[in-house]
Amino acid sequence: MSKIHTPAMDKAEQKRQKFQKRRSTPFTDGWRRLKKNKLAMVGLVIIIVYAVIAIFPSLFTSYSYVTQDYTSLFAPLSRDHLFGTDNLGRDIFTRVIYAARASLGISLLSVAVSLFFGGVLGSIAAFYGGKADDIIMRFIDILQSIPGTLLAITLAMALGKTVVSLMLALGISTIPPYAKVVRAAVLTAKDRQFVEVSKCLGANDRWLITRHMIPNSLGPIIVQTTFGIAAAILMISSLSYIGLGIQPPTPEWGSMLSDGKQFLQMGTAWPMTVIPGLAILIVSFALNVLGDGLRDAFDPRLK
Amino acid sequence: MENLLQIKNLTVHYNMETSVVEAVNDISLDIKRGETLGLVGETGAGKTTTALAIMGLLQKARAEIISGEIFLNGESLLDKSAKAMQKIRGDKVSMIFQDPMTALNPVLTVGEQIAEVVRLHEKCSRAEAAARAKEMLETVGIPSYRYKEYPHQFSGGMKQRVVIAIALACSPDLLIADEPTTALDVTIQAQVLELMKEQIQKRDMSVIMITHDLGVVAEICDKCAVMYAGEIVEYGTVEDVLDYPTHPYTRNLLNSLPSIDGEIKKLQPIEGAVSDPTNLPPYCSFQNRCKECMERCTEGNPKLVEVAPGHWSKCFQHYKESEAEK
Repeated sequence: MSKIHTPAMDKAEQKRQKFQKRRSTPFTDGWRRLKKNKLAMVGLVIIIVYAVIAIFPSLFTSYSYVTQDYTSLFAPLSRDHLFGTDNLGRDIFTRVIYAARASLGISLLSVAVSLFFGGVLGSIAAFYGGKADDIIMRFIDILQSIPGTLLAITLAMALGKTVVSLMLALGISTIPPYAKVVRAAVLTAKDRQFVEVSKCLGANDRWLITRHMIPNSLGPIIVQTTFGIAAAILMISSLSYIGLGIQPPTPEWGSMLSDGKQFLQMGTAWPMTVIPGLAILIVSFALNVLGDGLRDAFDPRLK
Repeated sequence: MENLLQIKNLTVHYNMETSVVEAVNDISLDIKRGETLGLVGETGAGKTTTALAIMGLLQKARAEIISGEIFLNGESLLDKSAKAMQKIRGDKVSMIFQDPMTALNPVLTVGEQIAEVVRLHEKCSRAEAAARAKEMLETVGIPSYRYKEYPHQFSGGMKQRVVIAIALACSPDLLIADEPTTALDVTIQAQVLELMKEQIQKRDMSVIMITHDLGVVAEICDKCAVMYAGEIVEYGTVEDVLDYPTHPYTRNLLNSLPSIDGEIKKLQPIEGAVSDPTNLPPYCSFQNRCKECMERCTEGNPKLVEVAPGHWSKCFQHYKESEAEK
């Protein structure tokens, strides 16, 4: 008698082959868990669309963000002007799209700045411990005790109204959470035995930090970075709203809001505030949802 | 044969907030080239502290080397700078750890982890290091196509093979194996021991095998040192120590093991517990548990006495004989 063969076996065999092919690392595993989280995937899709728009704005609109058209001020939504026009007759759709570029670029750069400094300070503090830890973390505590927005405003004022100064202002004022996350992650990784093993094999400190500790603490760092970008985008808009961020004529969601608020009483001017406001809302919502999803995917306790 | 490693009168203390742990007390050991020494003792007997002292990896904040010298190939290890020790670790002296589950980095492939040692110690390209790593995988019985796999794709025994491959990658002169089989099940233990035995013979390495398991000692060691409360109480060839134990502690230890050929009777545990390492007596530290204890046992601490050629034991019992001989 031959062995019973069922369709389920075929299916299982196919699945098995598929499983064998793919690599399995903590990151591919995390990605697999993330894929199951629908809300996080919605967030990811929004972020990808946002990134594409920010990188290639000219593909989506034929207008220029500075061209003023005095024949159609405060135009309502129409086929020509998808989101209408503002008080100077500029196409709001075009301006919203170009604004994405500025806030994405600056938020990424500012997060890179704070991730770099926070990462270096945090890993040194965790690795060497003792006095180095005390000095660095107390400095971080001092930095954190100053309200972030106030610190960013002060730095932006002091450094001047340029894009670089905005980036630095944001970057420096958000160092503390990165330093704390990296420190905690490296402290966890430090006590694991493979670090001891590597030490026994003659590894130096730099090797231990870069090859063993940081790769093993990337999960929480990625999560923090995602939330950090959301916070940075909000902060850029806040600073631009009060006139310290990106300077006109370059469009920015916060400054567009600020421009629009004086016309709010005119019923027809609502797109000037509502559209950039929605843009800020959607992007920061997407990043936060994605961050939540990443946190769940990388949290070892939920595996 | 020359001595590869010499430890002379090593004493290591851990200075805690309110107490001082006397972890290793005045031990001396010689290991010849190609020789395998079994270091046996209860938990807390100072085996791992001795190993860490050799590696130069004692916790700086707590541990203090009170006295003693360690020589490798005639060079004093305790005088070396931190940088020089980094070069020795992994290249001249290597270590295998107890638990293969945690000894490997989960985010690097096993191949990369073997290649890592090679790259740390030899000036060679990534490709050369990778080739060496593949060779090492084959040596320990893992097909080289598994180079790109991650530790969690391996079973415990396979992981321990990888750990051994890492330790052997630079052909060290001295291998310290800290309970390499404790975390494995019995069949895998046998396989891993077989592999280690084979490699030790092939490479003419010296090995310090730290273990609780006298079976492991009998299986692969040439010499055996029994530690108790930070001291070596008996030292000699494996045959001498296991077949003709002379120190009361070793005798009790062997009595507490089941035997295959003898008739099965109740095992005899050693009564009591190890003396508090923060408060060792000024006399023999086994005195409170020893059934053969005499009056003079509380009067002073005996020294190691050569009871037979190459067989040393630390007990006043032997004093009578040697004194009688005088």
